[in-house]
Amino acid sequence: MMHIKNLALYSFRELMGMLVVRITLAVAVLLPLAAWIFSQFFLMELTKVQLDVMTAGSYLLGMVLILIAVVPMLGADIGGRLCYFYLMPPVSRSEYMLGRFIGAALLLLLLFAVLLAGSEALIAMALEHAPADRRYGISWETGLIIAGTACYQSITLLAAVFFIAAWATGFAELLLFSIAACALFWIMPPVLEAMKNPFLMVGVPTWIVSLVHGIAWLLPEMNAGQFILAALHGQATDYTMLLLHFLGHAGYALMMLMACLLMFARRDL
Amino acid sequence: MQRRSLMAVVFVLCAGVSLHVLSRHYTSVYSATAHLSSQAPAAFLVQSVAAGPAPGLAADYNIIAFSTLFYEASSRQLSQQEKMRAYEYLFNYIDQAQRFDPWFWDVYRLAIGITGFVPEYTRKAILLTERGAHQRNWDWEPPFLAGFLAHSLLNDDRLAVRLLQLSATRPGAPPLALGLAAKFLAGEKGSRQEGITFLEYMRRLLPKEYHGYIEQRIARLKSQESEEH
Repeated sequence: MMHIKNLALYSFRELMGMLVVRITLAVAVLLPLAAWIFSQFFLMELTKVQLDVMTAGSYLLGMVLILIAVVPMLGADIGGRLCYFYLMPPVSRSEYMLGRFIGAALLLLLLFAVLLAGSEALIAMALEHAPADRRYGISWETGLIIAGTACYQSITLLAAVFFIAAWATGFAELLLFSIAACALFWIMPPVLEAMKNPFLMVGVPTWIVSLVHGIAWLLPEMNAGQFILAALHGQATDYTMLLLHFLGHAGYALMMLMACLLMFARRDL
Repeated sequence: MQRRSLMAVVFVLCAGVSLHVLSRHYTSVYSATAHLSSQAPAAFLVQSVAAGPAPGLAADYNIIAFSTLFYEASSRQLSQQEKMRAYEYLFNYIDQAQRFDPWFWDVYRLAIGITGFVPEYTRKAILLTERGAHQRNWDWEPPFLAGFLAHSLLNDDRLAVRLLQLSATRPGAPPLALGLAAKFLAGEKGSRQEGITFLEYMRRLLPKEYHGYIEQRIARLKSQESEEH
């Protein structure tokens, strides 16, 4: 347990030492300002527009951190054989992977804490200064829903990247499949949603319909956009659905991480 | 890997699979907009893909595209054919924005304030606003504005009464909504002065860049009134 903790803290410090990580965190700090400027082009619901930008920014910055910081770190460990330094006895392969994962997850938590503070600052500004008729639906809870859902979905993506790292032979392979995973997580939900639309499915062979439904079932429900959109407009959040969404992600992250440990324990290094 | 560690890993793996199955069994794709879009045009799908987990941003994009095209079209001399094409695009932007975010207030302001005054799109704009009024179930304004347009531009008092009654049930609705609904229900014609008052009210709601159409209409009503006298 001690090895995992030490390795997690070491990994967190290693990631924080990267210039790209500090730049990404600086972008996260400045994101509310960019959101405020963008919202000035609109008529009525400026806070909603600002929080839309924060939502998209949260997901994008989470992915950026994974792709530009975590993937190179794992690529150097596995492709460059740096992992030998950490894998000396008594540190086991599982402890190494878990330590690295927790370190990277801590970095994501820091990012989402910064983004949460930014969203709440925009909400506070709206509650203080917006005219009464434009404050409908604005609440502190919205910032938490945005940062919370983006955070646990990014951790699922992080687990998928660690799963890829367990079998990838080098940095190029790891980067390629990680980008594919990010693109899949971003693109697939709306595509699958559209493909499940009965109007589009008219005339499509039954086996293709079953295949599409099967793929949709295998992937976790990545799109929390509708929860966020409803919360932005003051609609009551369906917490049971949100809990199930979170549990689905927790399950998927655990599956990926455990499959990663099993594969990494047996691979040639 | 030691036997105990292996068992723990396999146990957690099974727990993960169970959680995923549980979540997948009880949740389907959670879409508030699904019932609004019976058909998914290519542009809608492309924008959905680009917006990913932030569908609200796709609605914002459509509003920005609307404003850009509107300013462009207003600042140039366009032929009738070009104008009609511009209005078609403007209405499509509003329609797409509503599909992504049916609660977005800006959509209804622009639908009623701009496309509502284009004869070919008046009914479409009013019906779009009526759909939105069921989503924005706390807001009296969109059905009120749409109801008055249904009466004054379409002469469709049944639709106007439906919208004004919807507006009157909302918190903070002005008594005027119910009064007008009763008047239209009784088949009474609204006066020109009521129309001017309504348009001046709308002018206050929209920023000055959008005043052109409303002012033209006010001027037309005032000249008709002075001709009668």
